[in-house]
Amino acid sequence: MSKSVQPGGQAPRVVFKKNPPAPLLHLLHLGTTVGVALCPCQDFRSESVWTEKEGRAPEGRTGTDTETVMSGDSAYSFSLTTFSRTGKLLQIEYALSAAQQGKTSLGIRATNGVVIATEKKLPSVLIDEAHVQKIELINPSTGFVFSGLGPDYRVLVRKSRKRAQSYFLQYREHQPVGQLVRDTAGVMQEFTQSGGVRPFGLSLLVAGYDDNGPQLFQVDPSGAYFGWQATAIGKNHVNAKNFLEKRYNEEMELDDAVHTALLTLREGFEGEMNESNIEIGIIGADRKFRILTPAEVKDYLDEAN
Amino acid sequence: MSILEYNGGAVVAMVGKNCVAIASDLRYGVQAQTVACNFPKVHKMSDRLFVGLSGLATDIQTLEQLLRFRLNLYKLREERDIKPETFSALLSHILYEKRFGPYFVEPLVAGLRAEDNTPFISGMDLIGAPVFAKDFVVAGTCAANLYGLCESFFKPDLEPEQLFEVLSQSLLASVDRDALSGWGAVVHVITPDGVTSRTLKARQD
Amino acid sequence: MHGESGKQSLRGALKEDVPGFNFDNYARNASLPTETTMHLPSAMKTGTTIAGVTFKDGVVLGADTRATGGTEVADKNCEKIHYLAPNIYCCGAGTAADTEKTTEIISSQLDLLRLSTGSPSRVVTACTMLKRMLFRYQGHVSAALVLGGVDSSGAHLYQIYPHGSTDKNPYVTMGSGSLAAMSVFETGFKEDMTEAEAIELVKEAILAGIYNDLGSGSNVDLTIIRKNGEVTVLRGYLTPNDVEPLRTSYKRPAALSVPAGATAVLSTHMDPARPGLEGLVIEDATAMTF
Repeated sequence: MSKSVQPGGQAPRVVFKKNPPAPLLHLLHLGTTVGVALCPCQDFRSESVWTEKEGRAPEGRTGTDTETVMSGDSAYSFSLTTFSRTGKLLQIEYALSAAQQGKTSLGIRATNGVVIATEKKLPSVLIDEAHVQKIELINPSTGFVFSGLGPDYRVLVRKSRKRAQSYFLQYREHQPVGQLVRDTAGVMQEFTQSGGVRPFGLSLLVAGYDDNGPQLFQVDPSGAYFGWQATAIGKNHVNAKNFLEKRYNEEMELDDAVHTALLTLREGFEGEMNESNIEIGIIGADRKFRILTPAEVKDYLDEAN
Repeated sequence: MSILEYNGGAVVAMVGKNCVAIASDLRYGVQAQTVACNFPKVHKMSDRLFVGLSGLATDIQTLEQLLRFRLNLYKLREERDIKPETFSALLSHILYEKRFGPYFVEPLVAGLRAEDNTPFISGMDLIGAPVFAKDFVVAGTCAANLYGLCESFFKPDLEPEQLFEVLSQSLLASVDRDALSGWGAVVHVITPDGVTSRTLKARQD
Repeated sequence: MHGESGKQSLRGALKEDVPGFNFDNYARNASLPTETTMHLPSAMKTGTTIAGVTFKDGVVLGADTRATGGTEVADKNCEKIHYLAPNIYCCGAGTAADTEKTTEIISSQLDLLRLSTGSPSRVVTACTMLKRMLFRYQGHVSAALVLGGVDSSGAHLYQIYPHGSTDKNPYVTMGSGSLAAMSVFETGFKEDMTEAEAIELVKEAILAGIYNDLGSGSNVDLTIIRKNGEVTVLRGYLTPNDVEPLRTSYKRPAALSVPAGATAVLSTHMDPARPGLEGLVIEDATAMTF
């Protein structure tokens, strides 16, 4: 296509420099500082540094006081990357507890779409409900809702949106729901195996519609994810799931699903349910996820009554 | 001489009715010296998706392997075939990533869409600026010749057999007037039933 | 941006989704012109006439549709008015890939910003993001842009130069046909035009570029963004150079239809379609058969 001549050679030649030697000084420094620390967590870290420096296995070192002082599972709860003797990662289980203490959220997959809904009950009447948003759009065809820690959710939403944008820039095609769920679950998994971080204290519900049709996923703090026809997370998830098991049928359309979602939500709801203390997000065959306005929620609520 | 012309070569893709064809010459040269005449520049990416790469031979091979690698990852991850448009966007993205140190390659993409068997073609410059045409795209050392021939011979809605003849004659006439390309040609016609690949009898001078 | 050693470069090449540009080939490419007689090729340009005016109820953006590679017309109908946000569009002139990718990147960043702020993008934000990016690359990303849109503070029109400088004017032109187009604007521009007047003026400006500038040609594309939020994208608003009607209006000479069997074929191989196997076949990277 192009044949015109451009004067070349102005670009500087790249000189290949040797990298400076590995920052050994830094390691030494770290070793000494941590060596005097008392916290078991830091002690654990110093062990690996020390190994690198001396070129010996950590077992060769004598007398770690953590072993003698602590016993049972609690001895292993200091680091989320350490298995307990029974093979559990306790921090992850605690994170799941945090998720299960959150406000109930639920989702239903219909034949022609998906609905996700959540309670938005606030601890004080003084809080302005209009500024609390729990359902978020990730890309045009995907929406999230959560149960658990709100601030953690924002981090995850930000990462997932960024990932979806990067996918779109690369392929000029919206990231399919399954891929987005997998990537998000990948982030959550990374936070169970990295240093200096803790797991996300939340479970996610993901609603989306792509070439594979309408889909509903749940992602847990461990990074485990599942596809569902209908499910619930958070405080009342056991009862809500039982309710959904009875009410769900495979021919359900989106409008019925919204209806069922409201009925399920009401089961465990303390007090009167209205358009400002619940939130609903839907995606239909147009593959555009949207959060229902309070007025639309009110219409659905009125129908349900 | 531009580095894009160092090894010579010609690539062209053309749409028909529910079919698409893509072809290249077979010469591999080093400036005026012909080294080999078994160097096809069109590569099958999946059953209904082909990419043609003209330009510097070393970059053609590097990019072809990189594309196959990226495509295999895509298939393993997404468990589906890539759409021609999506592949074209990916290729454009890969090329633009090297905006300030490009591969000396001008690619063409030709494929049939899975949904409705409609053809897709696109061309690109070496840093990934896409050209979406509804008739034909060309690249290589005799691109100007190919433009002339295709503009004259192309007709909309050609059947696979007619498309083959039109594309072949356009390519053969073009490479015969270019010293840097020729020495045989290979033409792939992609239809819903499969891909017919033919090697052409061509001048060997 | 990736490491300098060969091992790291290979890892860089195989890594997906690495942000920023990749300079792996830079040293090799820089050595080509000096060590051989080779010249580095130039990328596809959009010679281009792009223009915009503000009018009473919004902005009108216009562009021609020619892309060139040297003196060759590489694309007769390319799209130069790029989407940035629902209320903001951007015309691009210069290196085709640069205008395309720069607007794509900024569009993506605006999208993220809208999602996190929950409010519509402002034109000045888009302008600042674009100029910051272009300034960062010191003119090496060669995009000359006309940015137009509406937001809560009204209709705005900016021009952005490849080095990152910007102007805000009621009527602007860019690209190789900018002088031709500006001559039309300077004669015909009025404050507070109606939409029809603005469309007519931009159309004339682009036509001036198409007919008087060699780098511009083919059709007139228009995009109208109104203060009430309505947007009209008129792709191919005017096609004064379309050859299709002429070609179909006369019978082609027989010599231009290739008869069946005209091509001598040495070998034929048919690969039948494999329905159901789509996406499941992972191929080796070695095969070069035909």
